[in-house]
Amino acid sequence: MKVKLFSILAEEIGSTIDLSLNDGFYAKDVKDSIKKAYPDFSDILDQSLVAINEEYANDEAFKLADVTEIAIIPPVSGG
Amino acid sequence: MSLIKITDQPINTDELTKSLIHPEFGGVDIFIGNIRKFTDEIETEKIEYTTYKQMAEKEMQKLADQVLAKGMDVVMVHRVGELELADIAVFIGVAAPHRAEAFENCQFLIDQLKKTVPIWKKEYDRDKIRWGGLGE
Repeated sequence: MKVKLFSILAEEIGSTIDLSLNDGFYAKDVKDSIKKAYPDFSDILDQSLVAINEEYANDEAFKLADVTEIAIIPPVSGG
Repeated sequence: MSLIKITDQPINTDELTKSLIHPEFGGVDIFIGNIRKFTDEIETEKIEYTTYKQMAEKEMQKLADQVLAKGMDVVMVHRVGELELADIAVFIGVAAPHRAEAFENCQFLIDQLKKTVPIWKKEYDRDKIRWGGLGE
């Protein structure tokens, strides 16, 4: 499953990353698998949120069939 | 008519302001955010904004909807791309029957935008590059 990255993560890692996620995955699983591959970015990932289908994810489990888009949202800084 | 968008073009404040003037609203409050040169001793040269556009516009719309539901009009425009000093990054306008609601809701929109809308700044300062939201 492709995961979109933004801001410093996009610049350092790339604009997308391919992850294998299990059915019924949680937002935390997405961050944990990126942390495993890129331990240097653990701190930023801890501060980041996960968006599923363009909505911030909470603690719910996601079925792969319902997911069209995943993104990591580092701390925002618009304005 | 409310207007919510992310653009890579300069923000035309006159046009946006005019769009908020209606006979049913007696007060329009506008917040304009532009690129500041100094933050204490840190000197900024330019800022590059990036966004997750589809989601950012959705999140902006959610905020605007809360104000629109109270019968006011709203304009929220954020510029992305490379901005020079004094360039306008964001325009928030609220038109309301009376000034108190206009002030209050305009502040609400910019404060919330800074917390929830997926837009990021990469600040090119004289001494180094800083990423907004991440501290040093």
